Amino acid sequence: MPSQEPNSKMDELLRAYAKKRREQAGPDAEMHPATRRLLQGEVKRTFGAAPAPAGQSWRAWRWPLVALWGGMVALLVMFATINSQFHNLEPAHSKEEGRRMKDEKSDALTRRSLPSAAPVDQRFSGPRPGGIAPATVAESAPPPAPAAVPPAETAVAAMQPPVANATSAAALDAAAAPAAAIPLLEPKLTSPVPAVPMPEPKLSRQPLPMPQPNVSLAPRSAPPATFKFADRAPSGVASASAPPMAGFARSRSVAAAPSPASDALEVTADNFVQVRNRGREGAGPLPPSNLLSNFRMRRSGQNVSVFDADGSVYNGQVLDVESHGGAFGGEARQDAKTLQDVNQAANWTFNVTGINHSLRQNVSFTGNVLTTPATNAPAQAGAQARRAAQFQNASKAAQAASAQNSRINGKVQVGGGKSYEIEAAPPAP
Amino acid sequence: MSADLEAPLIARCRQGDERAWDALFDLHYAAAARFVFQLSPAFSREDVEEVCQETFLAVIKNISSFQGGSRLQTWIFRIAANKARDYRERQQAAKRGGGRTVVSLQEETGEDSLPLQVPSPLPAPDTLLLRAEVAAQLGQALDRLEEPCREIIQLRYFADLSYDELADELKLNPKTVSSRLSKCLDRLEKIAVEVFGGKNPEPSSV
Repeated sequence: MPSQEPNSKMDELLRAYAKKRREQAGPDAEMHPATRRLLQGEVKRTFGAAPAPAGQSWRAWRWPLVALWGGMVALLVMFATINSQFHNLEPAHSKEEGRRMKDEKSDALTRRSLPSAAPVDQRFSGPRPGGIAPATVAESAPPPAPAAVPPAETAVAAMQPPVANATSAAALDAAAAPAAAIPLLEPKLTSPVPAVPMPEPKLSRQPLPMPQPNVSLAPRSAPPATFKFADRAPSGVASASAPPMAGFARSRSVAAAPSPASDALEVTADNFVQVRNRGREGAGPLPPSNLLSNFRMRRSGQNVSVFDADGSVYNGQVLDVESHGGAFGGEARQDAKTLQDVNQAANWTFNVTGINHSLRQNVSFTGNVLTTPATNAPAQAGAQARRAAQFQNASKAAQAASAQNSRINGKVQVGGGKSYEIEAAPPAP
Repeated sequence: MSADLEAPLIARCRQGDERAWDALFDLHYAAAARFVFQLSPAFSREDVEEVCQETFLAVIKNISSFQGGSRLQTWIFRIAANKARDYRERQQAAKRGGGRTVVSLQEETGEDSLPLQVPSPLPAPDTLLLRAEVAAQLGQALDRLEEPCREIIQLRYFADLSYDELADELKLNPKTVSSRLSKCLDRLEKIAVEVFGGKNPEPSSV
C-alpha cells in the first residue's frame, strides 16, 4: 500500500469532513421498527412465505403424498381385479389342457404296460349274463370324419390330429392291419353333417401300423383286437407314416383303464343339440341361446368335459353310473358276446362347471346321460356291419348307432342364479 | 464480517428467512446510515433514514444478483451512494420547485408535543455558516467530479475502505487504486480551488 497519500491536503480535508459528519451523526442509528416492518413486508412479497421447518414441510407434502399413494393403490387394486378376472377365464382352458395331456400320458403308459387284449368281436361273442356296459355312449362316440363331419365331431375333430381324419372306407379297406380306429369311423360316414366344415387333412392317409391291442374286454383266449377312439393328439403333428407307437398314442383304448367300467371308458365327444320344444308348456325358462345350445361331451374315466359351441369348456366328474344292461367291467366283459349287448341302456349323471365365455358367468351343468338301447341299431349298422365285418368289428358300428340314441337331461345354473333345464340329444343325421 | 460468514446469511436471506433479514439489517444498517450521512452535508437524519430505507429495499430486491465478489457491506454502500445521489437530486429539484421540508412521520413525539412540532431542518446559524462554507464547497467540488473519481473518494473516505477493499470492489489492481485515487484527489483539489474562490480549502475549516 502506498504509505503516503497523494495530495495530502485534500486527503486531510476529506478525513476531517468525514470525522465531523460522523460526530454529527451521533451514535449508530438503529433501524426504526416501522422501517423494519416495511422491509420485512417487502421480504415476504419478494420471497414469499419463509421456508417451513422439517415438520411443516412434511405436513405440506402429506396430502399430495397421500393422494399419490392412494392413486397407486387404486391402480394396483384395479390391476389385481382385472388379472383375477382374466385368470378366472384362463384356468378352465389350462386345466383342461393339463388334464388332457395327463390323461394321454397315463394312457400311453397304460397301453405300454398292459398285455395284449382280446378282440372286441370275440368279447361280444361269448355268453354274457349281464347287459351292456355303460360304455355304450362312450364307445359309440363317433370318430372324426374326413369329408363329411357330423356335427358332433366338429369341435373335437378340430382338436384331433390329421391322422384321425384319414378314415375313408377305401383307406380302411386297404388297411389290412387291425387298426382299431377303423370301426369307429364307420358311423361317421353314415351321418355326415355339412354344417361345420372340417378342414381336409393334408397328410397322406395311409393306415397306421397299429401295435397289438391291449384291451382286455374279451376272453383271454380271444385274438387280440382293439377298440379305439381317435382322440386328440398332444401335438398338431400327425402323420400316417408316423411310427406305430406314435399313432397308437393318439388312439384310445376302450378298456385300457381298469374297472369300474365307467372309469375304464374313454369317451370321445358326442355332439348334442337342445331338443326341447320351445313352445312346450311348463318347461320353464329357456336357457340363453349361447348356452349349451350345441355342445359336445367328452368323458374320460370319471372326468367329464363339455365343450360348448362358443368355446367354453366345462369340466367335472361323473356323479353316478347306473347300468341297465350290465357293465363291461369285471367278469361281465368276458361274457359279452352279442351285438345286442352293446345296445343295452346305460345311465349316468355328471356335473360340470366352468365359465361361459359368452355370458361371462360361471355355469354349473348337472345332467343325466341316458343311452337307450338302439332298437334299430342292427338295422342302422347293417350296411356298416357288412363293411366292418371285413374287420370283424361290426359291433362297433352298432355302438356308434346306439350313440345316436343318447340323450341328456339336466339343469344348468348360470352364475349361481337362474336355472334352466337342458334337454339335448345328438342331432338328427 | 468475512465473506465466509456472510455466505450462509445471504443464502438464508435469499430463501426469505425473516430472521436472516433482521440479522442483515442489524449488521449493516448503522454503517450504511453513517455512510449516507457523510455523503452530503445537507443530509439530515430523516434524509439518512429515507435513503437507507430505499437502499435496503434495493438490497432485498437485488440480493439474488449479489455475486459475492466483494463484501456485502461494500455492495450495500455502493447502492446507498447511488440512492443518496438520487435522493439529493430529488431534494434539489424540490427546492427549485418551491422548497419542501421533509418531515418525518416516524418521529416519536410525546403527547405533550402535539400538535407536531416540525423542527427546522436548518442548523444553527453559525453552524449553518460553517457548513455552508466548507461542506457546500466540498460538496460542489465532489459533485463536479466524474463518477469514477467521486465513487472511489466516497468509498475511501466515507466508507473507510482500504486499498485492498477498493481493489476488490472496483475490480482494480491495488496499485491502480492508489494511482487513481491520487489523480482523483488532484482533480478534486483543482475543482475545490475554483469553488473556494481561488483559495485552497483548509481542513481545519471543516
